Amino acid sequence: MLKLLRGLLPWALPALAAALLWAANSVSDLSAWRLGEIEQRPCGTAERDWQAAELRVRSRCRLYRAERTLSAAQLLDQALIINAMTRDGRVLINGQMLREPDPSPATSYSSIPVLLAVPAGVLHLGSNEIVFQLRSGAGALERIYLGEVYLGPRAILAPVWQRNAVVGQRGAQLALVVSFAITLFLLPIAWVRRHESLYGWFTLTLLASAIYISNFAFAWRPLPLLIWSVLVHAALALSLWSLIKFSHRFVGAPKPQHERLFGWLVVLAIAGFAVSRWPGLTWLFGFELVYRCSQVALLAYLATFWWQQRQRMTSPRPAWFAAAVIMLAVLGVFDSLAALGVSGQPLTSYTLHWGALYLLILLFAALVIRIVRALADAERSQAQLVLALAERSAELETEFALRREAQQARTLAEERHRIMRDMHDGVGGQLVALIGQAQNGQLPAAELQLQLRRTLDDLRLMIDSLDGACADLSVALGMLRQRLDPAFVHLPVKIEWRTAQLPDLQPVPPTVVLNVMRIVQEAITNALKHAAASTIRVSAKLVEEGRESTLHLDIEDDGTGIAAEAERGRGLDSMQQRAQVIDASLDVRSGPTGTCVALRLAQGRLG
Amino acid sequence: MNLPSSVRVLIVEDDAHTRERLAGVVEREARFELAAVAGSLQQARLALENQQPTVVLLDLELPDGNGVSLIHHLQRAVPLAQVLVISVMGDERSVLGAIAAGAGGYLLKDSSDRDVVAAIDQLLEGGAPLSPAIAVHLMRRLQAPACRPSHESVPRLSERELELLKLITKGLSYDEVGQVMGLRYNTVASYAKELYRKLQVHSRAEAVFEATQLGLLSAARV
Repeated sequence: MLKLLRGLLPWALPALAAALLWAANSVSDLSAWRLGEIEQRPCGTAERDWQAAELRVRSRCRLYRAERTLSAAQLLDQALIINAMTRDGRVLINGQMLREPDPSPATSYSSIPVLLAVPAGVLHLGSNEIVFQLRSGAGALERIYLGEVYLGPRAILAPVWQRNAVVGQRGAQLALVVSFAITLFLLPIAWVRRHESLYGWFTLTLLASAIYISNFAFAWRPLPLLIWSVLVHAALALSLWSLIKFSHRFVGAPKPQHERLFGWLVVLAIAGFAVSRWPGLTWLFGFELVYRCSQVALLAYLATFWWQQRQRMTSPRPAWFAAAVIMLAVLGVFDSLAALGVSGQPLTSYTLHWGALYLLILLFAALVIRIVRALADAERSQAQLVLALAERSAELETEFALRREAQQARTLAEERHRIMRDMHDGVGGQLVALIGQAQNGQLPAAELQLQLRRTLDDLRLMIDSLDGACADLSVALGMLRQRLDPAFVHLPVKIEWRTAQLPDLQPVPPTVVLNVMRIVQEAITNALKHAAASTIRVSAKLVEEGRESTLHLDIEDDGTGIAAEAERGRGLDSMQQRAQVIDASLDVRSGPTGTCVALRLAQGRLG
Repeated sequence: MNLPSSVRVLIVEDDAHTRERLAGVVEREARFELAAVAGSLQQARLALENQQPTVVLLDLELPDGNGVSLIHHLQRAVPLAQVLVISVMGDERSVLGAIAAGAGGYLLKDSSDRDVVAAIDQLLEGGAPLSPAIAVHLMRRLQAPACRPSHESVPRLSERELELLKLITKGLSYDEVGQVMGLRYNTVASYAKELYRKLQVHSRAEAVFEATQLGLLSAARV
């Protein structure tokens, strides 16, 4: 039941609206009060004076005259309806002015009927003369025009005029307000989404139909009549054309091949209408049919298009559109027939704007629904995205933790391996050698103590190198200094440290610390043991060259130097090897006045 | 020297050889008196029931627990006793932990006899040993990062203390530091002692801070 109702509603609503409009428009027969024979005359001298006094430009003037014989019952409470008239004109009954001229030069014609009350005493028994003095502004593009005129009881004519005004003028004003409101709403969207022509076409539809509708809403004519008339009808054709473009884009189907055809049809319609209004050539009026037929064709295409979409799309919207377009076409056809005088009464007002209003509201609603749905979709997918992101980051965190653990395990294993190798080669080897020597009894106690002390020193270096604080080589040097200093108190050799000015250095790995310290310690030991020096000087400084900085470590003594090639024991070789391991350069210079061991180690930038 | 007439020394060390050696050093020095030797925490506690030592030479790695617990015990039982931690090389972190608990200094296990006497003397004179590595660790602990809310009672390093620590990290002796900073040796040594005290207060404040964070203190007050 509900489904049936939903199916029927799109058709029932416009049908109902059309029926209401038709009922409002079908006025009672007014032919009894119509002024039958209106004769046209050129203006006389008096009228010309009026014309010349107020208009400086050359204008045309025409006089319309009718007569009506009235009975005594027809003298009071009478009114005059003029359904269309050049606006700048006077209306006189029996020589008395009923309507003053409206000389605004840009307003010349109005399709909005005028109701004039006839004051008491103006009409008299028998023959009455009704005169219209009409004039147009300058130029061939203006027209002097007088439509149907009715003279009858006000009680009958006024309601007819009133109804006409509501259906025609008020309806058009309402349609205008609504379409401007929608335009205001859509313009920002159309601007933001300008790469998407959908909104642009809809806005164009709205603006073009507003121009057309304004023709019925106001008597205001900003252009010469003929130009204005062509413009208004071109706007209607344009609005239908952009409506077709909008419809194509709205359903999201690829742009049909025949879309270009409608452009040419619109051009043809506008040309036909312009030709039909060619001034002075009334026989061209038939060209207006070209215009009206092409409009009907455009509407028929639109109705068919939406009807087909009804099959394709599951939502009921296409049915609504199809029904609205059909209603628009029906109203348009009736309007055209009335305008061409084929059917209806002269006082029948235009109704097309009601159909346009209905269709625009429908389209706007569809657009808003689409925007709202898109918004809901976007919010939903945003929520899903956030969820997915959270999941993914959790996964990544787990993965990262695993990797970090693996990395830590690897680092730990490497470090352990390094320490074991150091132990084996260094302390271990020394101890094994000492045990062997001690077993053979070759080693005097003093020498044993010395060797053990050396082994212990080496062990200390290893342990120091593992302390985080000693990753800064300046601290590691400080540790070495603090340990070595007390021993020198009891030695005849003096040790000088020039290391205190060293700035804080970038942390380096334990391997680097250990090897640097071993080289320094070895160099000092060599100087102590072999050089017979009186002073050993350890100096350190950071030398910066551009962006590079190098740690300079020099161990100098004032001893006898390294005597012979044979004396170049394994000590120097191992120092070289250690320097190689840490990518440092080691230079040993020796002479009779002393030895200098120079270590150069490139530094990363601090901070 | 203005030393107390008799310095009673308690040695807590599980390695018999080191224990014997240290006991020998103490006994040979006329100013010192060997109060007792202990090889475990239990023995040390027993000894403390009868003895009031002036100085305790304490090994941290004991068969029945960590030496730090004995420091806490000492602070109640013999508040005036001073502790020298017997440290193995490169064990700066445990030394720092012991200092935070209240130890006044440390002694390297392989120090010469002369060094042992000097360390006890330094402790009694109100000084404290500072190695470059310990100086770095002190700087790191006491220059608390800004993310920790600065507690009123958390001590910070003063400019001079920072300068002193910087010089120590380069390996300068107290004498040399004194020369650079224009201070006497004793002043430098007491600066070091003050730094140790700061670390203790700092550690206590940290513990209080963390306990407050956990709501333990407020719960205890209720």
